[in-house]
Amino acid sequence: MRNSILKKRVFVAVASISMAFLILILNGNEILQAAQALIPTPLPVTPPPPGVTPIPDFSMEAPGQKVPQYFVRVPSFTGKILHWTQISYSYEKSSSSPTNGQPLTGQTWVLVSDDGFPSKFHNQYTSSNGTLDQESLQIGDSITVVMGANYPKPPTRCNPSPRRLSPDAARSLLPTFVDEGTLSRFGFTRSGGLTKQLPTTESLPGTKPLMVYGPDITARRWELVQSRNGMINIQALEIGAFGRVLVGQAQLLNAKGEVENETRFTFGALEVYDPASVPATVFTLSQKALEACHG
Amino acid sequence: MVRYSTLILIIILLVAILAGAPAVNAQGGWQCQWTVVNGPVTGGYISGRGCIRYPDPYSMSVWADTYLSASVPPTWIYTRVIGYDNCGGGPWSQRASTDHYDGPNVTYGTSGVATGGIQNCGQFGHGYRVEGWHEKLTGSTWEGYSGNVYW
Repeated sequence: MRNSILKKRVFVAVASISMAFLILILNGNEILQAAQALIPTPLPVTPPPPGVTPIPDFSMEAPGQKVPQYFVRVPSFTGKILHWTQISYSYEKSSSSPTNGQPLTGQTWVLVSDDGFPSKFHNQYTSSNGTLDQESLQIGDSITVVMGANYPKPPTRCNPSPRRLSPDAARSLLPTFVDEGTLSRFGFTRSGGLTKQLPTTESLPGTKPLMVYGPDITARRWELVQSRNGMINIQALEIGAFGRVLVGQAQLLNAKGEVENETRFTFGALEVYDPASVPATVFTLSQKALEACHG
Repeated sequence: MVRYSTLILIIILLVAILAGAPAVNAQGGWQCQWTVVNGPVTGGYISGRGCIRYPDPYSMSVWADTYLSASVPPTWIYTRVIGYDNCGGGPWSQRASTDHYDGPNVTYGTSGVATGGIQNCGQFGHGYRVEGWHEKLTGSTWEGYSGNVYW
């Protein structure tokens, strides 16, 4: 009799565990959503009274915003306007981004102030068929971002928002130069030469730059390979003349060697201009962006 | 017998859910900023926040909420949140998005939480942007605003 009850209980337990696992497998998303619902969200607060503009809290740090010690600043850029063309590629296995895994071509203009940090920053990214993907214009502590037709259309478009850049975030908007002699100290090893085709920087018609870095045709590739929890993280820099980074790459591989995510930048020649020789329109939104704002 | 099996099933499910929750919940709290402050709407003002947290080094969660001022009669509220990230001065990539309707007679609403993987920026500085949409139903028309906050 006791044996029979015990057997029935064991059967019920095994059946329940099997069912639970079946539910977990079949309804993974629902279970994940249930788990997400358990995350405590912020409590409601009292909004500021009408007429009062709250001061944004810029003190909070987010992951991955520190500039590595081997990135160096180039003092001769102070008071100049910089321009370059770059191709950006970003892939993430589960990404919902409309441009996931697609290269975007960017034109970037930066005015470097006397303290060596950017005071104006403007970039425009287009997809391979020439349509506007997005455009960003930062003047001082204010930024306007215009997203192209592939993105959701918000009720308010193209209004500037406050964005105060930390020194590290501001530096990351400038072209990257490396103190190559220190790379081995940080775990990098030499690994061949230039592996990607570099874009051609589209020069501004009617004016000549004071100086041009590039176009480079050779580079020295440095790799930092780290493994953790069965994943391999590869960070690579391909460095041209004067220590300028021509290719930046970060790749995360799983245990099977498949790419989980990858980010890659390739940079064309870097042009340095006297601000007096450059039209003010390089720091205004383009016609394509204005059309996206009102479309 | 039915009682035992149901009880065991509930316990197993609860353990499974709670075991999964800390992985999402353990690291880092929410950081919030105002995306819209006192946008004029019929009857008063609408405001809202956009919030972010980093559950682990490889992902971001976003959330938003919406407030109507006391002068606005309670109604339906729509809140949407979209999270983007970028590397250096690179393009913004959409990482997480969700939305939610609260109503029919409320003055406060939330979007729900969305979580997505973030870019592998390597040595290039990581930027984060949260876009919040905050709207209310007036008659048969939705009115409201959106705004962006940055980290």
